Amino acid sequence: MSTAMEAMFAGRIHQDGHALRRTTLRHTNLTDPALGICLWRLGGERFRAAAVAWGPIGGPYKLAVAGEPRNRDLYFSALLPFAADLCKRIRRVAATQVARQRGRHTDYLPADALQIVVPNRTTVAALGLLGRYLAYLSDRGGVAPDPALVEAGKHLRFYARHARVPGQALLVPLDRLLAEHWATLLSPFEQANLAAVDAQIDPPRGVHAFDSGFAAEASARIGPEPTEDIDRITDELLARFNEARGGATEPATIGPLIAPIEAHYRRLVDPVWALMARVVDRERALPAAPSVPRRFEVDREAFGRRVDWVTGGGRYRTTDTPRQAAMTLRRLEEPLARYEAEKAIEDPAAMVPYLLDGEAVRGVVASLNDQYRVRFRVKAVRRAIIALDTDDPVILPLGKKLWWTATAHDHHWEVQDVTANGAGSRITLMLYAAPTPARLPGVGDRITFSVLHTSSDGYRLPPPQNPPWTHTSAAPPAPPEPIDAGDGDPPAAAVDGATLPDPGVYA
Amino acid sequence: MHACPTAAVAFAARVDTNRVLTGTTLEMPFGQSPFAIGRGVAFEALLRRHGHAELRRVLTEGLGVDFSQAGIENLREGYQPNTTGLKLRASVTRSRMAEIIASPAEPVVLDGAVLRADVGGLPAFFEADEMAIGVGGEIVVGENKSWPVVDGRPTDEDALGSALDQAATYVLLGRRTLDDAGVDPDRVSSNAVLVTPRNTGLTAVLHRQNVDGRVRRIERLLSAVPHVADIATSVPADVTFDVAADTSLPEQERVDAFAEVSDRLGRVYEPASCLSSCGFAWACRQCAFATGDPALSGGVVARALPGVVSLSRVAELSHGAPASAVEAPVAGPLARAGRLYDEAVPVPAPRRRRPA
Amino acid sequence: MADYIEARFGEHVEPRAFAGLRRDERRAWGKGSARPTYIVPALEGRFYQPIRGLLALSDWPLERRLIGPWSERADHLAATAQLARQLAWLNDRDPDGAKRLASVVAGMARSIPGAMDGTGVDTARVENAAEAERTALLTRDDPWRREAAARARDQLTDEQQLWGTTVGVVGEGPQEGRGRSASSS
Repeated sequence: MSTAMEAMFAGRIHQDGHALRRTTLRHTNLTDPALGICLWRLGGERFRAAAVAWGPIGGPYKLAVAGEPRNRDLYFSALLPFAADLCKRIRRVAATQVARQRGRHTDYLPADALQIVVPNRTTVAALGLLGRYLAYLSDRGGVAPDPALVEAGKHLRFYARHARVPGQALLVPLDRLLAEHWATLLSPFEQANLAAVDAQIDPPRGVHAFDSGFAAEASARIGPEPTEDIDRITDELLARFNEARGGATEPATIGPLIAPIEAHYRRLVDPVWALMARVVDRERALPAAPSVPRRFEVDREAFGRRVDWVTGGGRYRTTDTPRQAAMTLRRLEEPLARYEAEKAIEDPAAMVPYLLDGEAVRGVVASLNDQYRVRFRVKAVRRAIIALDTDDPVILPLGKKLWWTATAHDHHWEVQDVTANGAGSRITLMLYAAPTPARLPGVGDRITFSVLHTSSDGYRLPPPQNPPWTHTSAAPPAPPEPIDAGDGDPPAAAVDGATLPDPGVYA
Repeated sequence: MHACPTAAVAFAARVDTNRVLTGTTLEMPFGQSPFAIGRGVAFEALLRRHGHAELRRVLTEGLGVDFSQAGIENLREGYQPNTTGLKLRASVTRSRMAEIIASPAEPVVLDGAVLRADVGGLPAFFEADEMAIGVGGEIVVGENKSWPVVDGRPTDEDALGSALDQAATYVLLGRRTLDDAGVDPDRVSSNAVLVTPRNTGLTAVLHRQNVDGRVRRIERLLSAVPHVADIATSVPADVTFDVAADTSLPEQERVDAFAEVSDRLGRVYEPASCLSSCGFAWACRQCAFATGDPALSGGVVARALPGVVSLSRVAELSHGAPASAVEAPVAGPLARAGRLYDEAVPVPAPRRRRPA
Repeated sequence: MADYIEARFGEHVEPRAFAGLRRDERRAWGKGSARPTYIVPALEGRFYQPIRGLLALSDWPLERRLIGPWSERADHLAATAQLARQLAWLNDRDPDGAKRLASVVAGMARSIPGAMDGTGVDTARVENAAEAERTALLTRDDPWRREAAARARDQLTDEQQLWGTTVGVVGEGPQEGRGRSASSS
């Protein structure tokens, strides 16, 4: 991140009154339509989705409301339609496969993947916890839980874990999508409120982004964690509901009693649902960056592999072995570097921070010599040398490796010399490969070199199958176990904050 | 707890920052869901019921010392819920800590220990959930939280961080208390204890974590709080939060009064810490916007702009306006950022505006 | 207590009602009515302040009305043992009532090592386990209670011994909180 860039954004947004785009392209795949999920928990209850809304983004949503989500029977019967529908959608999408040729090897991967869009990162975490809970349910009273709940739990757990992969688009939290594509006056802390970000991007006519963002922040409720005002209402409705049902859990009794709670959550979901559609529409209008399909292919591959495994009854470990942890770290590091590189190489706006931080140079090719001879060990080889005239003075160490953005997947160039040249600098660069037409810019071209490249950092040994004893824990990691042991306990009584005695700790 | 003069004056004057702007649109929504509060209350009650049975179990299992026969001094019961009660509890805590170190034979728990600290030269009280004292005569600080831990990981990383900060504060204050009593402060362990529910139920589980780094950070924060006596001499007698807090006045008048007071005192607006803890945060943010304070978007931007007074000036410099001598060091990068951005994003994307 | 009343007599008592009860009792005592026994608050053992929600009878010895570091657990064990005895008695006479009480006893006994090892509630086992743990605790709890009661008799008026004190703080400094300005509430 370039601090000058951030400061420039803050100044201009303050002056212009609206957010500014950080990119000229969209770097995240957005399928049409994605499956939207919006959920509300009961306050403080991290495993209890009081309401789950799902459906195609931009279309109507279905709503699952348990009434009393802390009652296992009510909770599971409310979640079941959601779980079953999710499993059905995932299986349907995964069913259509395409062949992919890699050398002499053909593999099959899903033609598409089910993309899930949620309002924010907190929802991603909430879905992950819900998945962890449902994926390993124990029998209760000899009754096995509905398999759809367990399967949906495994899918959700996979989605939430995959969401850590940089540049992935299987599970898209919209707050992150906007933060990547837009600069606003909001600090990172405030960017968690999707409504506030949206309001800064698209303020009503004549209203400054700051004011419109503040109004949204003060009034919009996004979830999944409810605010006090929401749960005061929930508390009242739930007390009435529990009294009326008198311990009953059968649908016939519950059905008529649940309507007020459902209406309460509909009022909460409606604006979020509309907001999600508006945000997705706006970003979809931007052209996708060239590497978006490649990254989504990686997603599709992961999706297909996991669906096969889950529907085949596979179980995940809950704790990583040291080997897995090392692999995971690398799985996340490499895509991060590659994603950042692809973004900047493809998108001139995303390259600006690198230019500002001296990690990239831009200029006009003043001369080209592709007959330059250098002695490499014993043999003289042909190399290309160019002189690049930059607008601004640059400081680069000799020998620094740079890649021309047009060949960022290919060989690097090295800085041979830097001299002052008018207001800017003249950089001499040598290509570290045999000069071919594709590798050479033309004289007079305005081009960019940067430290970013998209080829893998060479061949890396996989971690050993049997890790050394220093990296082995005393006990093997625990196998997955159900975590639902306490979910049948009687729920805690709600407590109104206003009735708590104020200990006056700081007074 | 930071270097903001407005917050420090409010603290010195015993003004509750959460109440001053009550009823205005700038009142901070710090309230909690009744279910979240109820869960916290239920978890605490679970640990304490039946003579602290669950707390005894979890300490025994987690610390490897038998707490089933431990004396548990319950400082939550009997003491008044006011400053008098807190002072009494702080005094009991202090004398018990010294006693325990002097005779370390038996495990002891102080439930609801209260530690006294000077913040900016004024006494403040901090209520710890537990101070568990192991047999070695070492004092271990404990904090109970009702969010669950699953597979050994917290379900909320932010909540974990603030819980550890809280524990670190008690470690620091516990050490100071011992130091004042002429006892080796290192008898308060650096490894704090966190008691949380495990998985979906409320069954408790104990975690230990070293909080040394946090202790050092909190010590720095506490020492940065301006001394109230110094502020008092520099604050004009007519500075008051009374007008801002007067609910009979129209909102604008109250908000203006607050802005005037904080303009005169000075303020340090830092989004992440202010917005999560100070009742003035939205009001200060409003002031920061009105004056174009670079702190508005966070510390990264503010620190990048030494010598530049306002965001409007930043915008001008980014369009290539000539810089003054003090602005010179940042003017170059700003102008370049503006020029490169304009080159990359030449025409602003057509904007669809919603009607006001 | 509310759980016990509900299980034993089938009556639901709102726990909050106990607070009003204490107030009324205090007033009745103040009027000097000629009742032999009052419901009084239990007292903590440092400053003898009344503990909200923990009740005792005025004719209990002071030792029994004080709550110290081992007392809550010891009292819980005593109550569990007592209820186990009641349950044993009830098992033969009122199976329905016994069933209700058994779940209360089970809940109370769950934290006592060895009390709930078998299936269902074995009243003898519960009683033995509770008494065993209590006996061990009493070596600490009894001396503490005796010492605290002796101190109270030395320092407090009869009224304060029943209803507790309201402690004020005199001055700041090292002696803070040790002020003896106890006044009757």
